[in-house]
Amino acid sequence: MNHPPENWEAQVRKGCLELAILAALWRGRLYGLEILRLLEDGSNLIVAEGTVYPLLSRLKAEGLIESEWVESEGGHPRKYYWLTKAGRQRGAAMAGFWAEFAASLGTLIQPLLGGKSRHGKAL
Amino acid sequence: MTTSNDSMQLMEYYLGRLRHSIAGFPPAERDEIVAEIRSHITERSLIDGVVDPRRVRETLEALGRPEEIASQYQTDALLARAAGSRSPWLLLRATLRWAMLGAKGFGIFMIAVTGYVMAAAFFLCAILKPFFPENIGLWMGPATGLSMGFHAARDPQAWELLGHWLPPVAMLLGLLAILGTTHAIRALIRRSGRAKLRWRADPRN
Repeated sequence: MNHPPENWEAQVRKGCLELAILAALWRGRLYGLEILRLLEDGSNLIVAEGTVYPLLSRLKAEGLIESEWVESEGGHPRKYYWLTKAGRQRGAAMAGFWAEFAASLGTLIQPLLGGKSRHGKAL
Repeated sequence: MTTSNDSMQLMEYYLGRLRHSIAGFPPAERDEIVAEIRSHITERSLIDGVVDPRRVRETLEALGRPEEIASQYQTDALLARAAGSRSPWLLLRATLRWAMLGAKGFGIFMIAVTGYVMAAAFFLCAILKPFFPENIGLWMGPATGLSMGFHAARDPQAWELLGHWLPPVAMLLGLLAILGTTHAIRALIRRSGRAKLRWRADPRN
């Protein structure tokens, strides 16, 4: 069996989820499902969709995001989130770290990818 | 064939299990969690403004087990309370929960267990010394070095250092072990960032 251990994949996903949420909120207010859709379109980060909501609650508790209930046209309420100043700072710092990290790891793992693509996804 | 009535019941059953699993939360917070998941399920299951039974099933499956979601909410809440608490019991429970999530939590849980077991051992020595004066002591010997504890058969080469001083000294060491462990675990939880601010943000805790 040469698949990456499931646990490792899960850990990588989990570790990146926080940054992905901060990134999704970078452009403005979104409610939970919109955030999820953005993450699904842009990546294969999500395994169980339910994990996003506890994480949002934690980010709020950490003061990185704020939230507010808004009634939708359809009649059901939605909980909108947006970044606080601290959230923008944290997001920018995490993104900076990630870019550097991914670049150096990308160079390192190049031989493992069989030299298939120099510009393809590093991870 | 599922009717939309069935799927509504399925959703309510799911939300009921979620609510039940976060029963320990303040009511307002619990309502908000359930309302948010309800909003998610409803909106994700809509086709042309009508809740579609098959989509409800798929949505619930994609969400994962409600107990799993609840446990994630709970871990953060418990750690937040623990970071502001001095109760060894609460700290142990919080770190045990954390231990099940990853290596870091496991390491911190082991520190907590080691610290509190050591404290318990000191207290036990102090309490039992009057009943087993010949077997409990702070021993010094060529074979074992310095050790405190219960020796069923006395090592003829070891001698006891404390005598009647053992109970108060062991009590003091036990107390120091408890305080030290508690202090260290709280600091580690706070530094991890997992529990940051929540207990300060929520005046009820």
